[in-house]
Amino acid sequence: MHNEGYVVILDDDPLVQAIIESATGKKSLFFPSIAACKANWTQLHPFCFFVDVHLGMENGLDLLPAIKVQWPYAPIIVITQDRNEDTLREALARGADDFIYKPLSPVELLARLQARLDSLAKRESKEVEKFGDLTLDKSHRSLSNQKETRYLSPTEINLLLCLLHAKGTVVPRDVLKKRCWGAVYVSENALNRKLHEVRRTVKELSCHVEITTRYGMGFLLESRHKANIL
Amino acid sequence: MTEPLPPILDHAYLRGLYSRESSPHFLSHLFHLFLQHMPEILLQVHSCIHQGKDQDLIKHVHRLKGSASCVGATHMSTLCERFESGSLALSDFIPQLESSSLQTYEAVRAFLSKEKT
Repeated sequence: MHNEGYVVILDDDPLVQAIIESATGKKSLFFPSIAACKANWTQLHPFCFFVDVHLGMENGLDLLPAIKVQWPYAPIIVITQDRNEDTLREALARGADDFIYKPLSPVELLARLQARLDSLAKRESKEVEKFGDLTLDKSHRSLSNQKETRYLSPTEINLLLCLLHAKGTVVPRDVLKKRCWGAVYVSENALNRKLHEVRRTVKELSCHVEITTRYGMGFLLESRHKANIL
Repeated sequence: MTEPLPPILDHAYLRGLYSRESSPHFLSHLFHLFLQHMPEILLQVHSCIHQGKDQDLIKHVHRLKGSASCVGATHMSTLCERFESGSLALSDFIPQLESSSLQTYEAVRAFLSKEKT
């Protein structure tokens, strides 16, 4: 669970910030507009978001898809006074995890936040695997170190997962082909090209992890910090 | 028939705003923010009326409704809600809002001075 970082609030009412800070006991970053939030995008380090629907002439829901892509495991709780069901449906469709109506109840606010943090942490533990200094996120098909993230194709992520799940044992070429392409015929060249891409990505992100070739046998994923391989 | 308006301040809501971890001055802080914030929104509401900016007027009334509801100023937030929904005409809304904002201001000041003593 992300218990460090900021509560990020996108709302044009400073009273909302005061109530959320009091309810959660955490400091927040407060942005009255989408532009202000985007201007600080790289410094956010959020552990959750509270987003108001009506932000003057803007719609706070417009920012939800970008938040979900960037921080998939930070809960987004939409705040509104609007009890229109279409607004609720739109918010959920764009990536909101929950809804809370004004006037805000601190008890409800905290309970909803904790429930969403809990469910996202459970999902994260299923979808994220770590090895060495790298983190592999299956749902977003991404590979990242502490600073950078690279996105992989479905086949590339399957190759990497296949090697990862072999836990340091050698995976033969034909096994890799079957696991990643199924019954489809794949040439040696196609496998080599995909392996080259994955190997290059791993090398760009880590100096501890590498894909090693055992000639005549297959491939294995190795880390200098073997204890870190899950 | 229109339901009667609620009281100026909802004390039950205000009690609910306190959590065990709340600072003892949390409500004062909240009210101070509201008193800073409210005149600016009221000014914008009046400015929109004079300039005939109906869309902007609705947005500012919506903001006022939100801020008022955050401090339990239910009388004011209900007036805003009725105007937004079209059940209260602009000609009735404005005098009622002026009266409500004065009463809210007095109620908040009374609350704050009571807390000081």
